[in-house]
Amino acid sequence: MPLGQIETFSELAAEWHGAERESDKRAVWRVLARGGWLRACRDAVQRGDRATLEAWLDKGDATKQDLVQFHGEEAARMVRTHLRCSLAACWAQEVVLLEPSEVTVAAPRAPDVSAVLELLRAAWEAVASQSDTAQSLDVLAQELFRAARWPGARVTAAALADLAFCLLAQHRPAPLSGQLPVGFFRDLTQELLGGPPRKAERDLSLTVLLVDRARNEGVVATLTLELMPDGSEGFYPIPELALIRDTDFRQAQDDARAYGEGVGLWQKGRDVRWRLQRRDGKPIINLTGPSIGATFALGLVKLFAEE
Amino acid sequence: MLKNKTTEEQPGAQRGRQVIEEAAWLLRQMRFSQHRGAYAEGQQVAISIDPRWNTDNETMQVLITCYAFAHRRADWAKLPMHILPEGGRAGVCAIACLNARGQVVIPRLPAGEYRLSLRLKPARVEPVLYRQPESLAAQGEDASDERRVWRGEGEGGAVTWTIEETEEGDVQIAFETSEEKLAGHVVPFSLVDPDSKRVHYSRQLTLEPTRTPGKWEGWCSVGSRTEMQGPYELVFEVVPPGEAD
Repeated sequence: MPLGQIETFSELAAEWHGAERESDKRAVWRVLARGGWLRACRDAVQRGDRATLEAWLDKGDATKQDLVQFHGEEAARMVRTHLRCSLAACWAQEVVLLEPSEVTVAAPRAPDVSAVLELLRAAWEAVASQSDTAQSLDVLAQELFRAARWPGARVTAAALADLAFCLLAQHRPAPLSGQLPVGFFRDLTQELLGGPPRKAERDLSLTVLLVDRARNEGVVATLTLELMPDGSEGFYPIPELALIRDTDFRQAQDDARAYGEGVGLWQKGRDVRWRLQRRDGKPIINLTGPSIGATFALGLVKLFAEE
Repeated sequence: MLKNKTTEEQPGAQRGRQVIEEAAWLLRQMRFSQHRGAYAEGQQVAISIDPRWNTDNETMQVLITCYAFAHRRADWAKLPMHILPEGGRAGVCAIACLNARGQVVIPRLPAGEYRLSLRLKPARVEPVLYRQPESLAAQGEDASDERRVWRGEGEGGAVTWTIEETEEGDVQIAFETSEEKLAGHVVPFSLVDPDSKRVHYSRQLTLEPTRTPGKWEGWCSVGSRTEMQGPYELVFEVVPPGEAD
C-alpha cells in the first residue's frame, strides 16, 4: 500500500484526511518527514501562497495542528520552522518584485516597506524564541535596504532573504542547546527558494557504514562536514535530513558538538553543516540510534585541525 | 412457545460452558514433558495429553484431547490452548486452537516440561506477514521498500488491528478502538508459526488515548523485517485491565 509522493499542501491534507487508522497517520507522517513537508513548502513558496502557509501555522486550526504535532514537540518545531522560513521566502519574492522607484526607507510603513517588514518578521519568527517590536524591525528594515544596496542594485529573493537572516542573527543571542542555529534557517530558505546551497569554506568527507534495517545489511555512505562562515557555532544537517533523525541520533549530534566545543576546537563565528549520502545513490529515509556520534566527533576534530 | 424453547436451550449452553470451565481448571493442574503424558478426569470432562517424539529426536508432537462425558455438547472450536514452560519461566511457548471435537495437535514442541492454559473465549487467528504471490514472482529491490499492510478486526468489530512492514523495514503492530468502554483494556497478542504452532513473538499492549479524540490505541515495533520473516498467525484477545495475567 504505497503512499503517493506528497508534493503540495492539498495532497498532504488529502492523505491525512484519508488516513483512518493511527497506523495510516504514522505512514503519512513518515512520507512527510522524508521530504513531504519540504516539497509542500517549496510548492507554496513557488506559488507565493502565503495564505496556506499561515493556515498551517494557525494554532486555532485543530486538524492542521494535529498533523503538525503528530510526531511530538521536537518534530512540530521543525515543521513550524519550515513553514516560517517559507513565509520569509514568500515575502522576499514579493519585495524583489517591487519597482525600485516605489521603494523608500524614508516613510516607514509604506506598502513597500511593509513587505520588507513582513520578510523580517517572518524570518525573525523563524529564528527567535522571543518576539520583537515593530519599531526595531523598522530600523532593521532600513539596515536591510542598506546591506542589500537595494533598490540601487538588483538582488534576488534568495540573496535578500539570506541578508535578512544575517541581519537578524546579529540581534539574536547565541542559540541554546537544542535550538536551531541561524545557519540552518538560511540553508532551508535557500532550498525553498530554489537557490544554490551556501558555499562552505572547506569540507571534509568520511566513509561511514550505515545499517539498512530492511535488508539487515551494511550500507556504505559518505558523511560530509562543511565549515560554514558567518555562523554561530551551530552544527546542523542539510534541510532534507532534518526531519528523519530520531532522538538518539539528534542527541549524538548535540554531544559531538559539545565535545568539539569542550576541547576548545570550535572556531568562533563558524557553523558546521553535515550531509550523508549513500554510495549506492539511494535516498536515506531514516537516521536512528547514537552510533554516528563517534564519527561526528572524529570528523569535527579533523575539520577544525586542518586550519 | 418461543420463550420455552429459549429456556430449554439455556441449560444445554450452560452445561457446555461448565464443561469448558472444568476443562480449563483441570488443564491448569496438568504437566507434561517429552517423557510423560498426562490424564485427568473431572465430573464432566476428561483430558488426555499424549506427547510423542518426532523423528528429529529433538521435538515432540503433542495431542491434547478434551472429552466431554455423557455426550454433553461443548463449543470447543477455536478456543486457544497456551503451552507454557514449567519451572517459573515466563512467556508462552506455543498456541494452538481446539477443533470442534475438543482436540488440538502441537506438531513440534521442543523437549521440556510444560503446563497449559485454556482460554475461555474463541480466538481469531489471522494469517499475517505472508509473502503475497505477486511479490514472490519477481520482487525487485524497490518493491521491498514499499509499505505492506495486513488489517483485520476483533471483539465484534470494536477493535481493529494493523500489522505493517514499514518502508524502513520495521514491523509494527497496532490495535485501535473507538469504543470508550475498551479504553485501558489490555491486548495480549502473539505471532505464531503456522506449522509448528510455536510462538515467535509475544507481548501485551494497552489501549491508550491517541491525539485523535475518541480513539485509543496500543502499538509497538516487533522487530525488523529480517527478524520477522513470516508467515505467522496473529492470535490476540482483549482483556480488562488487571485480568491480563
